[in-house]
Amino acid sequence: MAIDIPTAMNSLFPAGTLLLALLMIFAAILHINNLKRVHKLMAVLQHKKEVSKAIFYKEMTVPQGSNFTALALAAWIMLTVAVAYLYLLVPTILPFSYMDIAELASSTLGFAIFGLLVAGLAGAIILFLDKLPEDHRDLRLMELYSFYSITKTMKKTISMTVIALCISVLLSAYIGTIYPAHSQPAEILSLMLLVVSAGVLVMPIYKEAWEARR
Amino acid sequence: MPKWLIIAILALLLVAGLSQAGEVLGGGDSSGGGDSGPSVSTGGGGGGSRQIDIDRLITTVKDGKKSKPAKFEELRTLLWKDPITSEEYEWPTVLMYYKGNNTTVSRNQPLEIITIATNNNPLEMRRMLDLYLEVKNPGSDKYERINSWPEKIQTNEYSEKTNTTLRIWGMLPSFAYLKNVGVVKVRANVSDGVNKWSTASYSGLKPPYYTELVFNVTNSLPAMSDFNVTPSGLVRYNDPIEYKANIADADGDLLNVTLHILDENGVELKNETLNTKPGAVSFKANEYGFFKEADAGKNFTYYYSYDDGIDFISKDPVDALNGPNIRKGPKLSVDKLGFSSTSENYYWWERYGFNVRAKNLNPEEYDVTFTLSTRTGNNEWNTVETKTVRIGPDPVEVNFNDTKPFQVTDAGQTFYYRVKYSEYDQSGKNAMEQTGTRINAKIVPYSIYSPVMFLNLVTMLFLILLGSFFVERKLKKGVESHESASGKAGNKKSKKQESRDKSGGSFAGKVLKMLRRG
Amino acid sequence: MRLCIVGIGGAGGKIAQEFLGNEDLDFQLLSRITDAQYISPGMIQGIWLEADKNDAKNIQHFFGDLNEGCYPCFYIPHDVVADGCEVHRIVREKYGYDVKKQGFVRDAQYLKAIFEIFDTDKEIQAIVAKTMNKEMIESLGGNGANSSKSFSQAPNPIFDSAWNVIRDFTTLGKGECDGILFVVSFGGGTGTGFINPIINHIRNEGKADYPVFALGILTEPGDYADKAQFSKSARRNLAAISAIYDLLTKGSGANGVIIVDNEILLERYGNDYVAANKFIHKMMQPLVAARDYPGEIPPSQAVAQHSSGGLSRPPIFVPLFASLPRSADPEEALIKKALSEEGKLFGCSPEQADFAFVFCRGFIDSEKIRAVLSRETGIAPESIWPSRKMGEGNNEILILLRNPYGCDPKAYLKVGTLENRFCMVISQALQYMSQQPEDLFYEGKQEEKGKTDSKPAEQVRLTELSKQALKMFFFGPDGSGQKSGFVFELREARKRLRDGEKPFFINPLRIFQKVTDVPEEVKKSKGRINGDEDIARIVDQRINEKLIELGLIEELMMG
Repeated sequence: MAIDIPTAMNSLFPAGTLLLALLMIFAAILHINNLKRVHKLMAVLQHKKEVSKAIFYKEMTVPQGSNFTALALAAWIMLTVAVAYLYLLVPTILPFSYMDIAELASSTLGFAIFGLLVAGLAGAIILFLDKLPEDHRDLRLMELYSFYSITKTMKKTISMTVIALCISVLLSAYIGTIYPAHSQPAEILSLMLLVVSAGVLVMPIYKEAWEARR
Repeated sequence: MPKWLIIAILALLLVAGLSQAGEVLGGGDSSGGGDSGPSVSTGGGGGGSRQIDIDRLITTVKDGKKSKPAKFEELRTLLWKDPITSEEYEWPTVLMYYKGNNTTVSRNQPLEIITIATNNNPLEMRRMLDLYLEVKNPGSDKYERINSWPEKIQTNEYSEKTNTTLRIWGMLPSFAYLKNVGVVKVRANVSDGVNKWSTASYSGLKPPYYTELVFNVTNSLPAMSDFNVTPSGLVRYNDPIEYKANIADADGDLLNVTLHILDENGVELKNETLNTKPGAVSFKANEYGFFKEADAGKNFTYYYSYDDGIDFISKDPVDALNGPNIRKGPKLSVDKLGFSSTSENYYWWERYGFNVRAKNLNPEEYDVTFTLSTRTGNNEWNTVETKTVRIGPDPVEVNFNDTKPFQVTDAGQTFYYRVKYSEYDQSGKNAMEQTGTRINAKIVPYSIYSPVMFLNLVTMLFLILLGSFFVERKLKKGVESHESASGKAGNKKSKKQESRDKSGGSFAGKVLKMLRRG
Repeated sequence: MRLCIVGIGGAGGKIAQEFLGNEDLDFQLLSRITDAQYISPGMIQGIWLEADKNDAKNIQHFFGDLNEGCYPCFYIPHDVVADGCEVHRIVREKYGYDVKKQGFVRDAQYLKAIFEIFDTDKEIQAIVAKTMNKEMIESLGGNGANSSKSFSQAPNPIFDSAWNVIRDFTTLGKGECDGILFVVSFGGGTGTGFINPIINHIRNEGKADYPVFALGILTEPGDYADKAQFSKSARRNLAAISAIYDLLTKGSGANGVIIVDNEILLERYGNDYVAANKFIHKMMQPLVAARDYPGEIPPSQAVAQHSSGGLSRPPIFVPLFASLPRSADPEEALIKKALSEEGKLFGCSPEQADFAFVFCRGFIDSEKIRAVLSRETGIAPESIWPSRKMGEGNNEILILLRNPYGCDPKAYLKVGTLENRFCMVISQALQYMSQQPEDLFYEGKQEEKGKTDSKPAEQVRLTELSKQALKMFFFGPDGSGQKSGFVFELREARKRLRDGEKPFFINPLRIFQKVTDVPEEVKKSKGRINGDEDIARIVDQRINEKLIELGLIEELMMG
């Protein structure tokens, strides 16, 4: 049976989007679940009714280093910018887009302003989450990796996602500049880089969840 | 009073009278029917009174009405009383009545003209009255009847107390119908079917009663103001010249307003009349064809005359006013309207050139202002550029080069362009318009490899990275996320945080404390 | 407990390198922007002490120079003595020892002798005080800061400077480490000569309960490593046993000597020393890593107490290590694996241990650990002290068995026992001393070559004073080694091992005596109080009794 390439290409993007969404959603669920499970285990192993979450988090977190944390933070912010660029730059995917704000779209620094606004918003959310009480440290994105043991290699890989996300942003920007023309290969490649980067960023969560199956 | 009651009463009286006369109405019926009638007890002989049971009488009459209608009719006929014309019949008094003091009225002033009738005769003697209102207009020597059909005053409409009734003459609400002003007399003629008289026949009356009403009817003069001719200054003969003014009339009469246009020498060239109610008055020159091309270079004056059907004002203002001053100008011939673009892509950010060719069909040269405008879709015209060019008999190319007429919001739409000129062309228009082409839908003016895009992306990425690094530098999450129990600094910090967390407060307070933390 | 890792010598440095790796990404420019700190797993800090300047500066690139502000850093304590300075000259003239000698003779006594020279010789002490002024010593890590302590101490510039650089990492100084782990190789040159003097400083500051451990890799028998170590097997064994002897006989010294047999490491990793070092690092993770169970962070004092409390001499700890993938109820499997041949890192008889630390990493029930280990080894449950940390992929366990030997006269004959191994080492050392006594005085045929150029190293020429002291040290006053001296002590130790006695190293020995010191043959430790060390030991005992009386130790032991 001959594969209908255009149809296959057309279905790749929605599939990739779905994969990305599921990846992130499950990562969030698994992260909370991982910690919950360990927290519960602490109480069981220490023969206590309950272990204080704040103390538990205090002991469980390990410093991963400022360079890595900075690059990880940059990667997460870049991830949101890349998502915004891919889905919100042109109105081919969602009914509203950056192109609807015509003055911004035609401005000399329109792309930069858009990206920085998204980055600012993501940064604000991250900083707000950072202010959550000690009982909710699991929701602090900046401390996400401190709950997991991450090898040097993994850290380097996570850092490299910044470059992959930059390329994704570049490809999405290219799609924006040629709009209303469209480039499906660029779109799919951008999405693939996005998915791969997102996968790398949440890899420690999945790894821990996988190992905990036992 | 219902008839049957009258009959009953009369019957009663009759019976009472007959009983005194000694006759007895007894039972037995000789005229048919065989029904026994009511029995009436008889009294003793020789002049004694006989009591009649009135209830039985009435009952008998009622029964008689049903069972013996002929007899009943006979009884009714006997009982009917014919109108009695007596020598003591008194003529009803009919007078004119007017409430107001001021009998000087304007033509349109609303009036209430009343005729009052008093009839002291008994009801049965009274006769129906027929009234006619008569008016004597200014300058007329005879009274004219206003109503064709008489106003009837019925015998039973008089007030029981005062025996008076009235008629308001609604058919004479005012004197607006008058063509002249002056004295107007109003009276009423009366007839009771036998006699005829007029309200004017009475004398010695005091207000508010009159034999006849005498009014002094006046007229308000209309007045004009706010004279104006637009546009002011030098105008073309076929510009929308309009004469405006305002006319007022207290009477609210229908007015005739005439505009008189004079030449420089004061000779009237033409006039036009307008029938209008008081208010704004307008004469549009183009509608009436006041001016022609030959009038170029001439100055005109004007005045108004008007009347309200009674009074006539022959010249207002007294000194004619100036206007309009028709200027001389070219007679344009305009063609070859076109446009060009930097590229065939027709991007919104590109520069466009527009051009039109014009010449003066007259031999002179004039400065003509050309205004270029564009629009897309249903938007308003947007002025792009204006230039003044000297136009003579030789064709001149008017170019609007290197313009940037479009914005990003115009992308993807078809544009239209127009050149408006300050004179009229051969077809009498002052603008020429054409449809352009569809503007390319591309919004972003830069390509991905342009320095601008490079700057955008590099700046953005650089700032994001730098921001992240400085956030980490400030927050030290990579170092302090683990507070060791044995670490002194960690203990101090956790104690601080604990003391903050312990202090309670509202939700908003807790949120603020949370944001201040760290 | 956060340990300060002090690697000493070549092997110590390489192992310390594994502990002190940077968790963070190494980008210099980025570090400047983020003001990144150097972070090692478990927030460990440490330093490398080395005597060989060439090794430190040119051969390796992990440690930077402390004097240049680098971290992680190496420090060469001998540099505190300037080349050719009066101290240098006088010591050499009087004793023949060159305090600046690069790459020591593979001889633990060399550094011991130098230490004791500074410790005993008043003339040299006076010269130190006169020529090496206070500020210079302090800036190089000198003794000035400690002068206020109750115990008067002779200025010992080399060891003082070493202590002062270490001190800054500890809670005794400006740092955050509440324990020290020396990492050495037994059989190396630089080796253990530093440890005891540094411990002296710690104890002299009144910190009897400050935990100090030594992790030593015992050189393997045979000539396999001769080339790599630039020294023959027998000599290495002598150096090893000398170093161990000093550590185990110093009362109020280290809280424990954790000993790993390099022979076992060789069997597993061959000549892949990097893999072996990584394994040692991995093995120690349950002890040094972060992520303690909430509320189960062992206080360092408690660790110190449990290690050597109630003992007159530092104990031997034999490590047993096991790592298994995560599973439910892993305790049984972990203990069994650790107790198996695969888990032992030194020959031992687990059932003879009098105490066991069990450092766990993973999701492990401490009660089960206690029960299983007690069942498997016969150690009383109250003598088993589990400590847990949250783990990573695998469950890991590190059991430190205290003094797992003795009570079995035939144990020394069994391969895989501690007695057997020590007897082997002692025998080799004795054989060496009997066969090549001249080497003890550095008068033998020069077999040692310089590490950098493979040319014969410059020979040490001891003075008569030194020789006499050494002779007495090795062979006793009568020179026979039959009644006293190191040779005698080693023979006695071997006898004790064979008889199943513990401890087997009893009497501390000095090369150079203090003026107030009574000769060593008089100083027997059985019931008579002699010397500062005995006093310190008795005082320790008294403190322990008091703590037991107060019930503190019991509470801590039940954990």
